[in-house]
Amino acid sequence: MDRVRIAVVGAGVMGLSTTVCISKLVPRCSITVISDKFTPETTSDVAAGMLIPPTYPDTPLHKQKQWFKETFDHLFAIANSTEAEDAGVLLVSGWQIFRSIPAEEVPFWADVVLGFRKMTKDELKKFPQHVFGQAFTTLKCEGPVYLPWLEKRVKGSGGLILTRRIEDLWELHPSFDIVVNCSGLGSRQLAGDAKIFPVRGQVLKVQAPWLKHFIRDGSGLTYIYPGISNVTLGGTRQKGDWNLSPDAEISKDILSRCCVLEPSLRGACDIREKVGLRPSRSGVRLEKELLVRDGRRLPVVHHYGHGSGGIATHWGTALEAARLVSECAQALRTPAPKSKL
Amino acid sequence: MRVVVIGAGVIGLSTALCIHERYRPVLQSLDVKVYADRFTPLTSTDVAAGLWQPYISDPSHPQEALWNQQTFNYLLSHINSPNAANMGLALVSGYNLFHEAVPDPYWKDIVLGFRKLTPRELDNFPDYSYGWFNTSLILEGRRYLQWLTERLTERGVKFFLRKVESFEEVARGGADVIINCTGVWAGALQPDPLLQPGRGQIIKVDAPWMKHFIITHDPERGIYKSPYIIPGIQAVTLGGIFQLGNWSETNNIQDHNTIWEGCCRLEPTLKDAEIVGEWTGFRPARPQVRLEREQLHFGSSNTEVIHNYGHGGYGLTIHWGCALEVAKLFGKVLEERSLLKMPPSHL
Repeated sequence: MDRVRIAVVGAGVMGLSTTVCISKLVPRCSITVISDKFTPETTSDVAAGMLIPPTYPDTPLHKQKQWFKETFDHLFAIANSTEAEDAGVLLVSGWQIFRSIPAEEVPFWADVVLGFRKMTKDELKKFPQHVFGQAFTTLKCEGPVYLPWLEKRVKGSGGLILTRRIEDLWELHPSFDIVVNCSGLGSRQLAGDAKIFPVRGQVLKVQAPWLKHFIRDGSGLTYIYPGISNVTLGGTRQKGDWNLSPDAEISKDILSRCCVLEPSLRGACDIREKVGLRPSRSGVRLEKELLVRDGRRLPVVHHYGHGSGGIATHWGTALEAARLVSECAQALRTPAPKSKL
Repeated sequence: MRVVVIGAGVIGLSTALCIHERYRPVLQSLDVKVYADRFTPLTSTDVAAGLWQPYISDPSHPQEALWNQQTFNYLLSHINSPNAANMGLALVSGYNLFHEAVPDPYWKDIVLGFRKLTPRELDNFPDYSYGWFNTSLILEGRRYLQWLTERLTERGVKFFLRKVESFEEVARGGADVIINCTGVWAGALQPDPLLQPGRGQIIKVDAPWMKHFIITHDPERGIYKSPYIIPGIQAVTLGGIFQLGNWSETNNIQDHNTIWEGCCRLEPTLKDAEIVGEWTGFRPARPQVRLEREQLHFGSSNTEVIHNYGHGGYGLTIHWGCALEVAKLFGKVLEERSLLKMPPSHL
């Protein structure tokens, strides 16, 4: 088989970054990104994009750390280059604060971010309701800028972009030889995966350019993330809620909670509400599957289920997904009686 | 008791406010006026980037260390106010970079979270091998002067646009106490060979992804002669010019290039940043701040002058401590003139 035809389903941060990784790793392939939604209408566009990873219960910790480190190192290089503004990547310092001393004072990612340390007593005075905190410098990677930048890279390496809603992965057979499933929540239908569910997040994007630090309550429910052109205020974690319309009462509550941490936010203006559904799962699904039906075979690489840690782990998982795709491509090219898949 | 403050930069306005806050409640006859030939946005304060940071070496006058600290604590006490941004005040963190290891500065425990830079952080700055990270404050000159003006106006303090030619003219006009906050132009009222302009030029750019200040140090060139990048509320200030004795108020193309090349080398992400303005200002450079009383005699009257000028490149950094000190000296003047029934308890 000369040219391997690859379909990547989904054009959020996973679909696009996986496409870029595949184009670098797999020789002689053509890649088409197929999605019903593109930036700025993907889940990745709503996320603040802070590199503060969650913990997946069903993924080995060393893997999570590896994915986070690979993503951090990759974005750190971009943040320090002339591409930073075009890619929407920036360094930002700040504090994660706790109302009671956490069981884990030093998280697994402490040595991946920069300058991690405990907050001093003087620093904590700013947050009278909190007794413990961590100070560090991390990265922010903004979907609405990063995704178009990735799209440019995809097209630059010859990738094609197709707007289409896929209802069944078999639609891609026989036009494509390998399918990469980056459909996030769409995998409930496309992969028949009942283990993936939405965790609804509502955020406010406001103008408050004087804020230079992130502030995150250790519970993860309240946060202030200054970005390039706005500040993201959050948030909510509503399990099983598919509603994409903003709720006014929730917006009031978010603003009120954030004003407790940062009173100057009373002066914030141009408040916009956004909702995203985190594609949540107890562990990221990153594996090959061979679909078989009526004698037809369709190799699939699944790459979804990052929940709230998509941006924070995307490059590491995309590299791994690309390796899996490379294995599939090699297997297709190997003239063996039995496929090793 | 008629007080005239000469000068409407950060020193003049904050001193006026400090005196008014402390003494108006106990001295009904207190009347404070501000005379200046330049008001915001045309003062030296308006050109300053506004980062709270003293010089890295110990001050020649130890009191200055205390005044710096008092200013930081005063500003920090406002950081959780809903009005912080209206004052031009915000927390900001960032980097001080050096070519070799240096001792910690005396202000390391005044700022928040002071620490040395880690090797990975230094990888970002290939020309430098050592540095500090800390959280400090931005106090944007223009916004702060507007805020001070509002506070003073609320209190009935009046402002007069006029060029003062001599202390005598102000004394004969009826002033009992003159507060001299004329900054770099103090020599015009009373020769001071220790005072010189420390000319600075800055470029303001639109670079909202810059959330940290980056200040480089080159001991061979001297303070402010090495590139620095300081984010403000809306724009980012690029600088690195300090020319002692240069009174040229116009922007200079060589200085522009020095700033631009130095800052882009330090922070390559700036290369496409849009320039939104360029300004020149004069730091009122002096070996130490002149903060003292002087009695002048014009005809039969004694006029008290309290000098408060010569704050170099750290005016915003030290302003409130100096204002408090002037207020103390003013209190002594009142006591001497038996005007004070009891010392104000809130001094």
